[in-house]
Amino acid sequence: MQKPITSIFWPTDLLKPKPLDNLVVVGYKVDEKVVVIDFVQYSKFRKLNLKSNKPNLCLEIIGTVNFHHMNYRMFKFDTKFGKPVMEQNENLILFKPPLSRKLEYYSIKHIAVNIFWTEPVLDTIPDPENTCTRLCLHFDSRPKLTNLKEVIKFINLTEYSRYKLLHSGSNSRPLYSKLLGSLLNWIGSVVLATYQTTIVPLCGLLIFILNYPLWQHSDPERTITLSSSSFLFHQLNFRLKQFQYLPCQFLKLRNSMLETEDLIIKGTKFSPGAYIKLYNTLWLILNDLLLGIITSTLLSKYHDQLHIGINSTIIGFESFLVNLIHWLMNSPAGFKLNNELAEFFGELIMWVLDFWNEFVLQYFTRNSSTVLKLVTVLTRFGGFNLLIATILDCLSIVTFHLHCFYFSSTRVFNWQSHILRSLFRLFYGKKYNILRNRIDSNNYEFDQLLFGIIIFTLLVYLLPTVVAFYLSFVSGRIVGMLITTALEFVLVTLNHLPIVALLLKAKHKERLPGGIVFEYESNGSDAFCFKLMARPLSLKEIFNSHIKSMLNFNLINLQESQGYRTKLGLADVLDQWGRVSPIKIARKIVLGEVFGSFDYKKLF
Amino acid sequence: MDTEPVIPLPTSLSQVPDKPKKNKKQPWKKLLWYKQDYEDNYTDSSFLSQLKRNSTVVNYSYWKLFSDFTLIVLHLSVIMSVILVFYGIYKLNWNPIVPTLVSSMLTALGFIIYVITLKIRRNRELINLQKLKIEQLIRPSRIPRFNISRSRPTSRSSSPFQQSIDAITTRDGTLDLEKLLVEPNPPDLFDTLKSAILILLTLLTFSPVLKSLTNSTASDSIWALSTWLCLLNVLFNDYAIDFSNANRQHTDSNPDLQIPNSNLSKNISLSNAIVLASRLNSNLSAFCFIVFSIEVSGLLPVFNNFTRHCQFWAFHWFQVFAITTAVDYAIFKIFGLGWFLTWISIHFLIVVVGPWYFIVLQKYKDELQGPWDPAKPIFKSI
Repeated sequence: MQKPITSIFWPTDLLKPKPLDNLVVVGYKVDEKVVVIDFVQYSKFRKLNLKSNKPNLCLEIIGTVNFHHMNYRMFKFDTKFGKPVMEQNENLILFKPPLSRKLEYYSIKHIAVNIFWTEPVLDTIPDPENTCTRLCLHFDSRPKLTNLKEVIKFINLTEYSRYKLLHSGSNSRPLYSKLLGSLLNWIGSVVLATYQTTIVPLCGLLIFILNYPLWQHSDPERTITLSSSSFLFHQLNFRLKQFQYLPCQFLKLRNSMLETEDLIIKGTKFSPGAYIKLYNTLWLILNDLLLGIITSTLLSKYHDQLHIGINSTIIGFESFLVNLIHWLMNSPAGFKLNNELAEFFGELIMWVLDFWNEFVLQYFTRNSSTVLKLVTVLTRFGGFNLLIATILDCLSIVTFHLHCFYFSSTRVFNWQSHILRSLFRLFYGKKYNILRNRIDSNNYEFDQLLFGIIIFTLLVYLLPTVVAFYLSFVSGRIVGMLITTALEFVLVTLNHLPIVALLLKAKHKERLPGGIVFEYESNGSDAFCFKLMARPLSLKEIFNSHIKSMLNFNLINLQESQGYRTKLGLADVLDQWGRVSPIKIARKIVLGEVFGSFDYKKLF
Repeated sequence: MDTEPVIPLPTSLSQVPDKPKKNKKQPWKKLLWYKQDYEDNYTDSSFLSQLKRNSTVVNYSYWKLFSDFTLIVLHLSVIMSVILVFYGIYKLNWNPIVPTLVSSMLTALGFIIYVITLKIRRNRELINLQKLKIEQLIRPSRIPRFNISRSRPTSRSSSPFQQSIDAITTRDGTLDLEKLLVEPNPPDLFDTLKSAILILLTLLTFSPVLKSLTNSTASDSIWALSTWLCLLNVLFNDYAIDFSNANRQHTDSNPDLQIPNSNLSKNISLSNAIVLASRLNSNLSAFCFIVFSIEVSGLLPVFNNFTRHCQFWAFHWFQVFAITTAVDYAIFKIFGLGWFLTWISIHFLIVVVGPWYFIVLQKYKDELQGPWDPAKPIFKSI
């Protein structure tokens, strides 16, 4: 009769037992599978209490080593590798017992990397493999997995069970370690309590001030607060929120450390998520501060050069703008524009430039030394990110007039192209029917035709001039947007990099379980075995998981900024990120619509 | 017994050779939804019975074609006159006011003729209708009243008489003869004056802009652009040869059947005028030139169409003759004999050789119309 195939999971540190001891093999049985936990001396065996206080967690005697017993089988070991010899219908699967002290464990599914304090919202990213996953539902593969899940649970419990086995007979924990543990615990609680009573309310107050609406508007998107108007204040707001959520994260980590075993026994997914979260936040803050100290030292060292450099750059940029406008006014690149219109536009812009130069830039250049000193101090105590945020703010102030030029020329171009399109329809005797949303033929009156054609011809001839001005400001806008977006990406990287996950990946892969692998191991003879290995998360998986949680974080922030009025989905967040795609920008340029980067201050 | 499917011979048209058989086939029907006992690619001999050849071909007479082709010559002459006036103002320093004044006076004269003629025709029709009605009221028994319907008189009715009868019989007592009139109302004088003044003032205000519009562009590109616009103008012109059944005018009552008249060539000629005017060196000459070209290439074709519609053939021929000769003479005076001969030979080619070639080509016309063509809906009004 064919016996059912059973698999025996054997820890690697229980190979090659001493030949003289009489040992009892103790382990768990799950259906057909056996998980071996430990050897126990036969002499000590009587004193042990195999029953646990948990009902579904009972160790059983699997077999014996070096002596015969009438009820249990005896394991023999081969001499070469010290592996137990199996029967025909048994698979030997070796595993390295995970050290729960070091937060190692096996997991079938890969864990999620989430470094944000927000809880995941139940909104799925549009899944491209939807049909594929739906197809998989037709093939029943779950029973095996649940079985394996149980086995993995017991494997993860190895150390715990051994500890229980060791201490079940005698309660012999040394007194001093107990004391030390409770003392540490107590100190931690006191620090936590003081932090929670002093710093958290302070952070809350500051966050309230930063988010206080300075200018109320019925549309929450247009309400101006300090943090929504300036990168600097937004960065401060973000830092304060991090500090505010620190104790919460710390508590979670502590709970999960204390209750690790309970969580495993219950079968809920334990993940080092809390650990990664807390240490990631701390690490990023520290990193930022250190970088800030370095850069502030550099800033104060090269203060004079920087001060002169900034001033000359601003003046040079202004003169470049003036030259550009002059060039545009006098047939740029050989294109023959309409002189009168070009002159009109050019003089208008020059007037604004003069005004800007007089009232803003001169003021700025006069005080740039002070600003630089202020930034240095800020960077020393606030971190490197504050420097970038300040640069972004200064850029948006200094290039505000460029933005205005861009906006107005886009409007002019948009109007003109719109008029030209509708008048071209008049040219061939058609008219847009707004009720039926299509183009119908229309019998125009003679005077309507005359008017239309005169205006059409005028505008066609004026179009190149408008386009020349429009395109030059569009290119300025693109350059500005590139710089701003690059700086914003630096900010995102420095603020939200899953650095601890990456470090764990480099240092201690077992703590980032991304699934399990069975490796076939042949040792020459006819006895063969498998080896159970934990597959660490790949870099791609880490980043995928991180981006998923980041989008989630963005969604929550976006909802908060819109005052929870409209129902927002992940599609809106993806739409925000998609604004930087070159195709969309090109489309908007052609249609004469205003384009912009994603709204960093709303997303983060 | 012969059970094989019989392939019908294509000799007989609609008669399938019927033999007395036990399992006699049903005759084939041209119905897709009908389950039939024939092959899918079966072609019945009656299939080609609906074939028509050259159903829409009209045999033209040479003189009819000749008179139609003169319209092209007229249009060419109109375009040429605009170019001539531009050349005169630009190169020969003509006083720009003179041609504009002449053309404006002629336009005013034409407008007066237009209004008066329309009035006369409308009144005449009204009188006719009233006569008819009186006749009907006196002898109601003479006209049978079987044609009672609730529908409005539509455009495709065969004759105005029929229409009027319908209207009278459907409307009880009160009748609105104004609605039955086919002839268009003459334009309102005030409205015309208003839009004319509006356009003139706009042109006056725009003329400095127009003058400086293409200042930075080279003259050569302007000439090239103008040439292309003229060619397109000739190609896209709506020559409006036939006014059969006066369809163009009285379809106003039914907007669905309204044929949109193409204004593309007018638009092109106007933009041509603006492009050329931007080369002129004073505001006044730009303004005058644009007004002249609006009158000549925008309003004159309307007036000419109107004369042909009213069948004032003598007046029409007078217009054609006067305009072409004037333009020919001007070409002879300005450009010399060579250009004049070229221009005349173009006329000859179009008017004499064109119709002849058309008639020669007509014998090759072989138009088939069969059951495979999409069906044409037949509009039938009661």
